[in-house]
Amino acid sequence: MEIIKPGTNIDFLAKRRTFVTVSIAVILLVLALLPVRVNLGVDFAGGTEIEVKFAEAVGVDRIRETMGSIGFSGASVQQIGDATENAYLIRVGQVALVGEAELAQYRQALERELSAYGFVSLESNPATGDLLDLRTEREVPMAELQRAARGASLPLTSRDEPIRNLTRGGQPSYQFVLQGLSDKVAGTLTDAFGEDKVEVRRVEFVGPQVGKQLRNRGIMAVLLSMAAIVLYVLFRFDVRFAPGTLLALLHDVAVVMGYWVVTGREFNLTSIAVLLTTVGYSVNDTVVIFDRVREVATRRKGLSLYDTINTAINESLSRTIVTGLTTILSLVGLMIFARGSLFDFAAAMIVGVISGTYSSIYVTGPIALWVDARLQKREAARKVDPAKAAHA
Amino acid sequence: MESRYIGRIAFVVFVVLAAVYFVVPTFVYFSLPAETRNDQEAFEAALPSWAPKKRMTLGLDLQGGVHLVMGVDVDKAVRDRVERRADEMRSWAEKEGLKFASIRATDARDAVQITFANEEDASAFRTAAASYWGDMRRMGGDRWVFDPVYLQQFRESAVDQALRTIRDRIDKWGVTEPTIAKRGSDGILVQLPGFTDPQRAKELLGRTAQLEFRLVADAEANEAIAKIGTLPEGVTRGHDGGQAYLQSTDRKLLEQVLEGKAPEGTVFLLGRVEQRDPSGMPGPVVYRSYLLKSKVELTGDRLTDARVAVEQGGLGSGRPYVAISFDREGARQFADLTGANVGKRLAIVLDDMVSSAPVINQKISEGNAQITLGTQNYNQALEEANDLVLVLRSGALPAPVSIFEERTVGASLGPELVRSGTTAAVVGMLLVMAFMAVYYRRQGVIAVVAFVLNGLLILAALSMVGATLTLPGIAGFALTLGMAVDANVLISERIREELRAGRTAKAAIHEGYKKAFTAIFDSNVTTLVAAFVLLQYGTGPVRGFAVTLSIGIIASFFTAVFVTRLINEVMLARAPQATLSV
Repeated sequence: MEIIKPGTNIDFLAKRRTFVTVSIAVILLVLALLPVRVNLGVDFAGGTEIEVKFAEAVGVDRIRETMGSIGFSGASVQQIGDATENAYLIRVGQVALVGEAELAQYRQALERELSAYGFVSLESNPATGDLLDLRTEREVPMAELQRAARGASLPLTSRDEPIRNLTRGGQPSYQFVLQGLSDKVAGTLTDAFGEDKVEVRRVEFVGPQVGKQLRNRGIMAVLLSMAAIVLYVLFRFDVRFAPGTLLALLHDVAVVMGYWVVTGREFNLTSIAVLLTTVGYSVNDTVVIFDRVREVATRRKGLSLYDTINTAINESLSRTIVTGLTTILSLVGLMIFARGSLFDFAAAMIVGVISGTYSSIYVTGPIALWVDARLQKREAARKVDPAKAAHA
Repeated sequence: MESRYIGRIAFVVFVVLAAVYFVVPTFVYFSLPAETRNDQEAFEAALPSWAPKKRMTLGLDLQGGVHLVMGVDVDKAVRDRVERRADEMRSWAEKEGLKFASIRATDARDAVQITFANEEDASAFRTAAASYWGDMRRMGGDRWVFDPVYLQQFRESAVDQALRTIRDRIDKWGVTEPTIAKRGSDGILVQLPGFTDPQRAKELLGRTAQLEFRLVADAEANEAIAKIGTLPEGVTRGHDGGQAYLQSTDRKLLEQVLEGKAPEGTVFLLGRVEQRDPSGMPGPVVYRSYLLKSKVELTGDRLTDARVAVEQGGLGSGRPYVAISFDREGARQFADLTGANVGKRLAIVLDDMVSSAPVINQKISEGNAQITLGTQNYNQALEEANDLVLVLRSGALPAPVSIFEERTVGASLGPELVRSGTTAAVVGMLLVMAFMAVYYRRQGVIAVVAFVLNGLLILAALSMVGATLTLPGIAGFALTLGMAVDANVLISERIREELRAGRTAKAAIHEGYKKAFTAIFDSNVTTLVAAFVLLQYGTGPVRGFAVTLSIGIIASFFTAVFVTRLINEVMLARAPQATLSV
C-alpha cells in the first residue's frame, strides 16, 4: 500500500512567500488573542476546581445558583461524562478570601470587640490568604477571642484550631484561620443538597502564589525546549537551518495554543505537556527532512539549494505522512474514550501533529532558502567591497 | 541457522526475559483486587519468591489520595523573631541599668529600634550588643537588623521544623508510602496515597506544634513495665540506667500493649530511637516507651530560643550542646521545677512524642539552660543537637502553615479513570498495529513485534525504577508507542526506495537500515530534548508522561532498529531467494 506514490515531485517551495506570511500571521494572531481568549485553568490562574457527583439529577442552573448565593456568581459549572452520571465540574476562579474592604471591616469590628485588651493591628498575609494576624497589647483569653471573632463575623475554618495563640513572651499575637476556598465550596454544596446526596470526587485548589509560579515555569519550559532544540540543530546540521526551525516551532506552539483560543477549553498543566510534545514531534519531522537535505546535497552535487530542499521534502514525504498518521491513530482512542483533560490532550495533540507536519514542509525550507540568500548576498558584498575601495 | 546470529539472538532473548522478570511485580500488583494490593504483606504473599519487589505504583490521580503543598509562613516567623529580640534587649538593658527611652520592634517588624536617654549608655549598649547578639548588625542610628546570612538560616530552619512536625504526624497515622518533601523555598509537599479525607489531613497537618516539658516517672516505671507480663512478638524489654522500658519497631503494636497500663497520675508516651549500625548508617526506626507524669510542668510558649552551641574549654571542649532560654515567667517556673527535681529526668515532648529526656543536674535560675547529649561521637551529637533544636523551636517560634495547593481525588473516581484511560490507550495501540501490518505487510508485522517489545520495555523500566503511573502517563504510553513507530516507518520507506532502485532483498535491507539510521538518531535526540525539559518542569502527573516518553524513545533504538534488523537478517538467511514484502 502506498499513500504517496514514488516519484512524486511537488514544488513545495513555489508559493513560499504565501505560506510563510500565513504562518507569521497565525503566530501574531494567536499572540494577540492569547491574553483575552485563553481560559486559564486553576493550575495557572489559581482558584478551586471541584468535581462532584450527585445522587440524582440536579441541573447546571441550580448548582450555579447555589454558588452565586455564597458570592461565587462567576463560577463555571459544566456537566461531565454521561448525562446519567450526574457529575459536574465546578470552577471558581481566584478570589481574594479577604479583600481590602473586608479586612478594613474586620479590623474595625475587632477593634471594637477587643477594646478592653488594647487592639494593635490586624493583618492578612497575601501569600497564604487564609490567615489573619492579630496583635493586642494585653493577653486575650481564648473564649474572648472566640466571642470577638463571632462578633466581627470572621469566616473561621471549621477545623479544630481556628484561632492560634502565637504569643511567645512579649506582645500577644494570635492568628485566625479562615475557611479555605475549597472547603467553602465543598461545604456549601453539601449544605445545600444534603451530605448523602453529594459526593466530592476531586478537589483541586491552587493558591495565588503557586499559580503564578507554575505559569512562569511553564513559559520557561517551552522557551527552554525551543532554545535547546535550535542549539542542537545548529550543532548537528547547518546554521542556515536554525532560524527556520525556530520559526517552525513558534508556529506550532501558536497553532496548538490556537486550539485553546478557539475552543475556550481549559488550559492547564497537561496543556504544557502537549506544547512540549508538539515541539518534540515537529522538530522530529524537520530533522528527518534536514537529514535528507544533507544526503541529497552529497548525492547530487551542484544542485541548487532550492532544488535540494524540494527533492528532500518529496523523497521523505511518504514517511512524513505515514508517521503523522500513526501518531494520530494512537490518539484516536483517547479522543473517543477518555474524559475531561485527556480529551483535550488528544485533540490538541492531533492539532500539534498536523501543524508540525505542515511547518516542517512549508516553514523551515523557505526560511532556510531566505537565510541562504541573505548570507550569499553578504558574502558577495564582502568580495566586491575591496574592489570598490581600490577604485576610490 | 548461521552461528553469527546466535550471539545477537541470545542478547535479545536475554533482554526480553529480563523485561518480563521486572514486569512481574507490577503485573501481580494490578491483578490483585484494589482493596488489598496496597497492603505490602498481601502483595508479597501473592508475588512469586524469585520476583523482584519493585513495582509501578498508581498515581494519586488514579488511586485516590491527598496531595497538599503546605506553605510555611516564614515571614511571620521572622517578624516574631525580631519582636522577641526586642524583648530580650529590653530586659538586658533594664538589668544592666542602662537608661533608654524605648526599645521596640519597628512597625514593619524588620528591625529593633532603640532610643537611648544619653550617649554614654548608648555606646555601652552598642559595645555589649556586638558581643552578645552577634547575629545582628547596627544600621544608621540605633536600628538593629538581623544579619542576612543568619536570617536565611533562620528561614530555612523554620521550614525544617515545620517539615519535621508534619513528618512526625504522618508517621503517627501509618499512611502507606507517603511523600513528604520540601518544595521551593517555603513549601512542603505532602502526598498521601489512598487517604481521601482532605479535611482531616489539613486539620491535623495545619495545627501548630505543642511542646511540653514533663517529668519522667522513673520511680514507677519498673513496676509498671513488670506488670505488663508476657509481651507479644516484636515487643521487647530494655533497660536504661536501671529504668525498664518497652521497645518495638511496630508503633501501633507498642501502643496497644501500653494501652491502659500506666499507673494513676502517669502516662506512657513513645520516643523514637535512631538505630545505627557500626558504620554509622541509620538502621530501622525503633520506638521505645517513656513513663511520664501526667502533669505538664512547662509549655513551649515560655521558651524564647533554642540553638546549637559548642562547649568552650573544660573537659567536654568542642562538644555540641543545645542552649535554651526562657522568658521571665518561664525562667521562674523553670527554676522552681529544676530546684525541686535535681537528679530526675525532664522529658521534652512535642506533639505527644518524646524527643529527649535529659537529667536535671542542678537548679537553673537564670532562664538559660544547657542540654548535653549522650553520645560521644561528634557528628552524631551535632545531628542530635540540630534535631532537638528543631523540636524546641517548633514550640518556641512556631512557623504557622497554610495550604498553598490541594489536589484530592476520591476513591471512586480512580478506577473509572484507569478503565477509560486503559481502553483508550489500547484502542489507539491496536489501530497503530493494524495500520502498520496492512501498510507495510511483512515489514509492518515485524514493526508490530518491535512495537509490542517496546511497550514491554517501557513497562519494565517503569517497574524497575518504581515509577508512578498517572493518567497522562497512560496517554503518554499510547502516544509514545505511536511516535516510536517512526523508526520503522523510516526504515521501511528506505527499504522500499532501495528495492525500487533495483537492489536485491539483502542489499535493500542492508542499505535501508544504514541510511535510515542518522535520521532516526537525530530526530529521536531532539524529541528527547523536549521530553527532558518536560521532566525538569513537570509536576506530578505530567512528569509521569515525560518519563514514559523518554524511556519509549530510548527503548525504540533497541526494538525498532536492532531487533527488527535481526529478524530481517535471520529470515533472509533462512530463505535467501525470497522477495521482500514491504
